[in-house]
Amino acid sequence: MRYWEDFAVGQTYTTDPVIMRQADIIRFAEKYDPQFFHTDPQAAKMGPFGKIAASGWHTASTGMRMMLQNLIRDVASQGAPGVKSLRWLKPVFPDDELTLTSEIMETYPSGSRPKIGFVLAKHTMTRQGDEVVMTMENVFMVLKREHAA
Amino acid sequence: MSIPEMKARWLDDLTVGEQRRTGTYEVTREEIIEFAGEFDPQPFHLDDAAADASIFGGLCASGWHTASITMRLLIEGQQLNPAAMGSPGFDELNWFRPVRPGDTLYCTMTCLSVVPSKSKPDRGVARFHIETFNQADERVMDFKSIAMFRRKQ
Repeated sequence: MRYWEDFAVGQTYTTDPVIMRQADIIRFAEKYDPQFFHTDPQAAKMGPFGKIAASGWHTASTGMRMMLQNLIRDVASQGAPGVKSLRWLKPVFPDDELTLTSEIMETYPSGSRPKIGFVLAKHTMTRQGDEVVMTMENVFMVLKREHAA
Repeated sequence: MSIPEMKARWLDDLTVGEQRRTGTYEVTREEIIEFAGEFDPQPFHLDDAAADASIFGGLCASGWHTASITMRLLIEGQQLNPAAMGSPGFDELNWFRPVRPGDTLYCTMTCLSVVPSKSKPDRGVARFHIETFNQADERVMDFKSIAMFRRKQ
């Protein structure tokens, strides 16, 4: 189990690739982002991306799962208060192979809650290894080792 | 499949301060666990015992689930807008309080700014304050959405 003190500025984490499947793109978008360029491969050919693309929220949610691969794996996580910023730079298409790289930018203790500390991280999601599709900056909360359950 | 009839809302049709309210979405326990299982498999989103012992004091939805439900509410009932050019992203997203099984969510969308592009006269950027509330009108999440729109030519 890793605690707040185990995070340090400059650490980087890179995930294994995750493949975005068309069936999953459609399933997510039908439920949460039912716009034709996310749900209908035929109609999407006439849409803004020229073919069906994942909902940005699907890409972001996939990023969350990828963070749990290593950045927040086996961590005394206390959740996150939010996201500072997120940018969708390029559409994500079926069969894109996504990789997430995260870098720790800052760690600081909580002023109001002595048992936890904050970790600020910058994330870059690429497809096929080098094309940046999404960036994100967020803060997450981790229990301090002395307060381990 | 033909693209449905579309009514354009151009950048020029947006008004700073204008607020819209969405319909509602009931968040079930099953859906919380299903979403978390796929995207955010942390114990407090999946398991009662772990969740009860956690900072959240009980099972709650992944913040990304709340955000995805918010997207659904914003899309629902909206005419597809051919002037919309998608969103490059958002800033300042906050998760204020846990979303519990059985909560019913709704959102408001307030136009914060409308800025025509200086370099590309056919488009511009609007920013919206999106807020998500539960059935007790308690705010559970908010963020500042950035959206691009075509201008009326």
